[in-house]
Amino acid sequence: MAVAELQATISDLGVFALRHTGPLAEILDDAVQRVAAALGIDACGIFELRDDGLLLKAGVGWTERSVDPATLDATVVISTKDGPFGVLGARASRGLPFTDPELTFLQCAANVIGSAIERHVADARLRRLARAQRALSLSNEALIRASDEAALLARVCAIVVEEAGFRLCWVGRAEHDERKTVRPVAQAGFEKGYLERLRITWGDSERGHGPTGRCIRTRQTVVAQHIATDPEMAPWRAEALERGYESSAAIPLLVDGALFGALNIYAAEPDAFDPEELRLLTELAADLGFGLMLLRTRARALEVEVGSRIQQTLLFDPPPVDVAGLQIAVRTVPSQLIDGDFYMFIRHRGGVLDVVLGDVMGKGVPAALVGAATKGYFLHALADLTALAAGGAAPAPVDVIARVNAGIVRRLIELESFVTLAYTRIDVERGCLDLVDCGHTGLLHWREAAGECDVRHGTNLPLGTKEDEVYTPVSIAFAPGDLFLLYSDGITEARNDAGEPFGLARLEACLREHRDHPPVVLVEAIRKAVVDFSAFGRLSDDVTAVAVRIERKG
Amino acid sequence: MDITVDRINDVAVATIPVEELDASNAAELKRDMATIVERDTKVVLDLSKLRFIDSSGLGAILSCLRHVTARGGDLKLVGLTSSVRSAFELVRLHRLFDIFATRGEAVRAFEQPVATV
Repeated sequence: MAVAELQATISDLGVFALRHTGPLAEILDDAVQRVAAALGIDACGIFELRDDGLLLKAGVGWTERSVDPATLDATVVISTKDGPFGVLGARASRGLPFTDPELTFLQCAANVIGSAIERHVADARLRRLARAQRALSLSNEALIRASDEAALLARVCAIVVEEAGFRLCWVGRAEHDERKTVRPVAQAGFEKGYLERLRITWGDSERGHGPTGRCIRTRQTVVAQHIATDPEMAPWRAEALERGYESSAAIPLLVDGALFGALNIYAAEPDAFDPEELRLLTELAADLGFGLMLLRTRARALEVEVGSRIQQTLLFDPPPVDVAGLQIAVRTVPSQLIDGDFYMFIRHRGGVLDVVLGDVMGKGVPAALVGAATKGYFLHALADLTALAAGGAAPAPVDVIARVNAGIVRRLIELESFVTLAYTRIDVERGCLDLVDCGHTGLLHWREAAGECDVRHGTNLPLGTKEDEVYTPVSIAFAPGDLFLLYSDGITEARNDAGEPFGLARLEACLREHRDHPPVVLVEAIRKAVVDFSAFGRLSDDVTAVAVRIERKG
Repeated sequence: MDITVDRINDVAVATIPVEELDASNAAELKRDMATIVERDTKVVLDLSKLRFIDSSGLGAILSCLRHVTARGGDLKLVGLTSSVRSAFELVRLHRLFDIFATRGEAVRAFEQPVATV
């Protein structure tokens, strides 16, 4: 064929390759047809260089998909700036060797094809990056709008699939069970039962060695660019390829520095995750972790609000102001985490007053609810026992507590909680205080006449620890001018920057300093001392102090 | 938390690896002790590393005791520092546990036949 015609073919090939906006395969098909026609040969093909040989990408006159290069009459390399793509190969049907101009023509054609591949790869990469960028910005919008974790995770998975064009996206949460299960908690895209069959763990076993397991263990992004050949993908390979997943990436998902799990993304093409795209997806995962943290912070703030409302309405009674011979004051400061401190004042005939201060083990709304329930049990027990008693006499504190414990012990054991409690009955006429101390902090007794402060304890276990506990009261005689202080362990256990506890000695010092002031001044002084002492003024436990003064005569 | 378990005869001696046990890690202790208290009936908990424990921490150890006793076993404590011992005593939970100074004593206590009245 005339050189001019070959040159014309190269020119046509170049124009088509430059202008065509369809898939690369169409450009390659067009190229082999033009080359075969121009040379008048039966077989011409474009072969991609793979680890396992040459794979036919486009061709005319071939029956086989892979080819031994030695059987080709002419091969020229198709180069791109990323390295050799493969070869343009031809078989001369006339049985004659190719002439120099024909070989030059083949090389020119290969150069045009190489440029087309380069352009196509660059375009595809730019398109993918633009889509990843869009996915990132949409998922950031989703963070702002999200109202709960599950919805946020599902939305982000949908964005990764729909906007960034991946085949499957799912979020696996790292469970701390014995198997170290990775539990899928959100997904989008083509899945068809894949996640159900994964049985991935993040333990150090075969099923923990895939990208997701390694990602969670190492907190690093792990990519499988070729699922078809990656040895670590063996346990999942068949299921993955069947669903058209050729490559995958697992990106760690951290919430406030703690590991949540992994964001897992699958592409329909091998080698789909280039560094720039991975950077964008990693940013997306980091933003998602931040969004989860925001949701949790919001949830915590709500919990604190609910908890403090429970405390104010259910757990705290205002102290009575008109009990003859007594002055009573209470000060309580709920901690950041809401604890289950509660107190109640119960008046009986004859100027007898019960003061009960309790503290539920644990934190948060659950502790506050246990506190409210315990208080409910007390009110019931008091009502029942009073109704049964002759003449409506006040039931003995030990009987009230035994009844409450009997009613509540199984439930507290199930809840793995317990309640410490100081139950005091103050009888001004008899000048006597009965204390039943169920694992609570001590009772401080300022004896004015002696100028001494005693710490009184009982011996009983907290409610909810033993079914057949026998409760024993401690009787304490008092005189006018004496002062009693009930307090929660949030006071003595408050710690300063050095980790030192506030302790009983500081509390006693407070009491001594303010012993002549009204109880309301004393409890406020205690609050202030504890807050000032605490690291950064932040309390980790509720601080409750109840002060009762026996009025001086005259 | 990384609880190490040493086996002395048929007794599992688990060492609590933290210095502070409170509301922030009590649930973690319960979770990580679950496999031990569900498998072993003779358990010794070594608390010698522990410097501070609050009521949530006490609750977690109590819950371990309940799991073991529910299966007919027992859980004994060793190595209580003075502050940890005070915390147990303050809440009177020392009444519910057998507490020993050393691992050896605790393990031997398992070997002695239970006295019957």
